[in-house]
Amino acid sequence: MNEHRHIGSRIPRPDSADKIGGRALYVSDITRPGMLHGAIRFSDHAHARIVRVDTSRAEKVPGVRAVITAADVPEIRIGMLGDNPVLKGDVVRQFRDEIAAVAAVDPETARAAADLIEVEYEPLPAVFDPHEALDPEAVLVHETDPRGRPLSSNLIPLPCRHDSGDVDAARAASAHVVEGTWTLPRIQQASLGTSGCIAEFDLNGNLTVTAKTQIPFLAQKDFNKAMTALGLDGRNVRVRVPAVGGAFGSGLDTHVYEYVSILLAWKTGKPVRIVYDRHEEFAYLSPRQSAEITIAQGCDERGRLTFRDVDVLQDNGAYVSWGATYPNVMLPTATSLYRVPNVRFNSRIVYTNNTYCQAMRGYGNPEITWAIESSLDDLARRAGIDPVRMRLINCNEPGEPTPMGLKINTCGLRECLEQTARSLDGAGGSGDGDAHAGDSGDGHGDRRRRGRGISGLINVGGGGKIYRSDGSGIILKLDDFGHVNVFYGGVEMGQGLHSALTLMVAEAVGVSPDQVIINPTDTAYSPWDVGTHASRGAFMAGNAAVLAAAKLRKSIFARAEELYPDLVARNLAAMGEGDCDYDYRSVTADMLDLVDGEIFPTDAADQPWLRVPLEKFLRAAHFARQGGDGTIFIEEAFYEPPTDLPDWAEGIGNMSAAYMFGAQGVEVEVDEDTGEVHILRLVAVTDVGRVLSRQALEGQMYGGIVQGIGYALYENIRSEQGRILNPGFTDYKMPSAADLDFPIELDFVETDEPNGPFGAKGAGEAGMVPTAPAVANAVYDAIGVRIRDLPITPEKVLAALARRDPEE
Amino acid sequence: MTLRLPLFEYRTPTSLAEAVAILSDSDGGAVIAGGGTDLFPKMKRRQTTPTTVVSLSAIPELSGIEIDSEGNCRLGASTPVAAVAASELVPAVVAAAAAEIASPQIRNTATLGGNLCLDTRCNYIDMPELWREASGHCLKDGGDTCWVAPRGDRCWAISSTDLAPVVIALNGTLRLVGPRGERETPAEALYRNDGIDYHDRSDDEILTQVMLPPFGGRATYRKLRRRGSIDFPLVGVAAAAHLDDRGTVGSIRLVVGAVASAPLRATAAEEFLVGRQLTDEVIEEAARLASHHVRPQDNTDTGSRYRKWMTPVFVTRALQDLRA
Ligand SMILES: Cc1cc2nc3c(=O)[nH]c(=O)nc-3n(C[C@H](O)[C@H](O)[C@H](O)COP(=O)(O)OP(=O)(O)OC[C@H]3O[C@@H](n4cnc5c(N)ncnc54)[C@H](O)[C@@H]3O)c2cc1C
Repeated sequence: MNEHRHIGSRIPRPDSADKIGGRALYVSDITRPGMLHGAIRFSDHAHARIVRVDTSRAEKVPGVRAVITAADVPEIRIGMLGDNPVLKGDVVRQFRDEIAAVAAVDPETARAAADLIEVEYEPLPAVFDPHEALDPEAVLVHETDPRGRPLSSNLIPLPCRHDSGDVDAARAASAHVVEGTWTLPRIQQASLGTSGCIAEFDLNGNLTVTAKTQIPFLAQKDFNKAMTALGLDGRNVRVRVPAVGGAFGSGLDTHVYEYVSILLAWKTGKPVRIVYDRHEEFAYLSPRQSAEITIAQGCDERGRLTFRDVDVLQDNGAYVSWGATYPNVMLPTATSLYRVPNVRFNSRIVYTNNTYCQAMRGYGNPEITWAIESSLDDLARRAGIDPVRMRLINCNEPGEPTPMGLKINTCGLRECLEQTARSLDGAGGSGDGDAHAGDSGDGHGDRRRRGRGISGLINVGGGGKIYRSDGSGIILKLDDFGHVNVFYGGVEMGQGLHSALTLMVAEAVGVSPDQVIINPTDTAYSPWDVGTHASRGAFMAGNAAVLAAAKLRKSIFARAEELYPDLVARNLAAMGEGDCDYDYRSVTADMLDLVDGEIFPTDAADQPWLRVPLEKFLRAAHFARQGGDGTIFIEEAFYEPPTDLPDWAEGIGNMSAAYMFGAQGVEVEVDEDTGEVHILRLVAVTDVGRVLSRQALEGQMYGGIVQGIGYALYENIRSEQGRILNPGFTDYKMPSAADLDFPIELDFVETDEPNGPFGAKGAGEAGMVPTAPAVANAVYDAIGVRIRDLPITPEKVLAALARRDPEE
Repeated sequence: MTLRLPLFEYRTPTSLAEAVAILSDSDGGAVIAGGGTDLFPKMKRRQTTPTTVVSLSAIPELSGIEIDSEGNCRLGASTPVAAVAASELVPAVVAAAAAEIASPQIRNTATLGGNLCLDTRCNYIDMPELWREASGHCLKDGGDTCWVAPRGDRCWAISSTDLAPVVIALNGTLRLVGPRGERETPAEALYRNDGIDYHDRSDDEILTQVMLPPFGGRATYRKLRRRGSIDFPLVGVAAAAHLDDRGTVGSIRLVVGAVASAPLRATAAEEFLVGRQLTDEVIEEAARLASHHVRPQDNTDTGSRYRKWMTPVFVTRALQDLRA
């Protein structure tokens, strides 16, 4: 079924050796001559007026080169709505607000000096609950908008709604209806590599920022604001991306610490580096938003969905980042996961004095899927239909329009569900809450119950248009030695983009994967890309590569028409052959092919002397004998997917060029004594269109699933009055290796997406999307209690069991 | 960078006498370090800022495990936790409990002595300095309010050592050496149910040795933690008993860890169990007796009620182990 040479293969990642061997350079590894270290003084209050900032003690610390406060630097406002001043001069609105900063000769001195900055506050009443924040009497987190116009509410003006069909009538006519509220906590991206950057100016006022970012080009645009504020309008901003130790969405916005580095670099004339440590990463970086989703769904007697009514409330925290557009990415799933004729979606996102939130893998989709897929199980049970059958009855089909107007070309949801269910059943053994009597050597096995659960998923798989362009450029440059140097603006942050891109370039150009060299991303030479998010990297890069490779091959063959006869003659001479029967002197461009770095005529592919190594051809073309004849090969392409920027107030628009589908099934064992949920096995079958780099794809799936398990069972940023209580890995529980002692069985359905490169769809986020509801559905199957609030902690399970069995 | 070690002097005495001298000359500015897996994070968070850190790692007689002529198992305080976990000389329950401490990397560095002297822990105190300053210093931090139980006047930080309950259940003895000489104490007597003053030991006294008398009975340690690795105990139950042929309890020591500022002997349950067989009903009553006075506070990553609920469950499991 695979007609490709490299696509779908399992070659090791090109970046793994250097990463494992400690050679890859992350921000924290990079130093610059004369570099200073920055440290930020954060707020001690969730909401307070700043009365006085005294930096005198900090300034006296030996080794300190600059101390800045809002009073010393021009105002720069960041964030999607411009509501976040880089240094806060009058009011702090969250515990992590940045008040002042220090540049010093080493990190210890910078930190010690920052701690000596004294801030006097006048505490203000604060609001931490999104419901309370909506109360007309509530304290306003922002009294004015960025332009100084008074605000009357904490509701953030980013409407995202949808209303199709007649939900109320459909509800009234439904045979079965379920309704419930589902909640999710704030969780952390928890990248292995913490955040950081180095900012430096040259003597002409041009700025270079080495940044851990997923959006080098939008960052360049953002940093231009800083340049304007500094009176450096029109100077160049260059953003370079070093090795990135995971980002998971945290690099989707520019951050205050980056502007602080820029300001300190400008003030001192020296490069300034800020790298967060783990505590700062937890306490002062934006996590994933919490969410509260109220959902009602109904079906007819035969189990066909009649309507879906969704209301979303999100606690944004104190400032608006791109993460405030989570509801926009909930929409495709709310309207289009399974066939639902009548859909209403309403969302509100509100300011509070909690830490402000940002993007993370799946971007709203795991949240909405948690609500829909859990509630769907409830509906199936209410209707007396097997949960898997319920999903199959309502399964999306290719080509079927959805209420949001998504154009679904390919859809493997049915295969994914069926295969997942089959694998899960194939395990045999008990389900449905049977007591588990096996392996009970410890004498308490009789209180353990097993159950199985399943969940489907839809995710954007061909970009996700939430910005003016969802495009990607690429440059392919051949050198004299047959290497294809690739310049691409997306970011390899560990997800395996470079693995997939290597294979796609190799396949599309016709070279072997080790002839493909992917260069670090740098706005100075990489073409524009909107950013690496929404599972779009491989899809966009691949489409751009296919376009550029076609151009490249065309120019190679055009020039080869002239040079080929001579090169073959040299081949023959070198091999000691006389002339041959094949008329290689009359070969034309359209007769040539290039495969694995060799040029040959398609109608005589098996003759060794007719095969010309690409590098020989390239040198012949470059160092031409006749003056003025030298040729080198560089081609570029810009791919803009055929999608729409949706109308968010109506919730209509085909935001992605492809949609990916999948299912996960989980078998759990719940200990009714302790409330602990042990996963026994997990099956994930995913429609990725086409497997590109198998190793990278599997890595993404495993990683996503483990993050999904963290979301389902462990992770939760606990906070009290806006202050984070567990800012470290000891108390912020991510699953450890010992908790992942069960098989994760992966399989892929290949539906050959016409819009995708080689038929592929994006797959980066998918692993995390359906895990939590699959686990919750399995828990329900095991013990008959429904947990509606993530994570499913033992404590919640026991409390729910006590409600199930009130006598206990 | 908020979490950097402060500057300090690092000493590696090669004899016990030298270590004692450094400690007593330092006027309280010096602290003892075993593996430092508890101490160094605390220094990074500025919970303590000693001028001198005295490592015990270069004192040969503090390391190693041996059985003496009377059959006692003697463990040097500097013995790595990983070595305890791997030892065939120690009672199996000690090795098993050691294997459940923290993570493999930490066990390689951590020492037995450090584990038994582990500082008490709490959500509020185990935070960086700025965080603590912003919330107002708590009792253990030199302030005047306990944020866990603001109306009370005591510190509720938790004793989280996994080995202390086991050593107490096995009726272990500790040897301590300080400027005033050497003394021995039953392990149980070292611990005080006070989050601040959690040890009956002066700061310049070094724990040098743990002595476990020969034990021919049955023993177990049951630990509850959130994850299968890394995590501190939420509840830890150690039990060591002698049962006769008919399964009747002749003697038993039952210790509940991680629910108070010290490991707690469950004496009422012990008394109840002696002379009885470990039937389900007996175990249920013993579990009730062992846990009804336990009052975990809301200062770990799980709610206090969960630890309260889990105490009888883990006592039950430990007693079932003895029966099996
Ligand atoms: C992530 C993480 C997880 C952990 N999980 C667990 C766990 O599950 N269970 C558990 O029990 N512990 C756990 N710990 C705590 C700690 O790592 C262990 O208790 C370890 O055994 C401490 O030994 P150490 O030698 O490193 O102690 P150190 O840090 O060297 O010392 C701890 C304390 O004891 C004092 N001290 C050390 N040796 C002596 C001595 N010989 N005489 C007198 N005083 C001494 C020190 O001054 C210090 O106050 C964990 C720690 C971390 C960071």
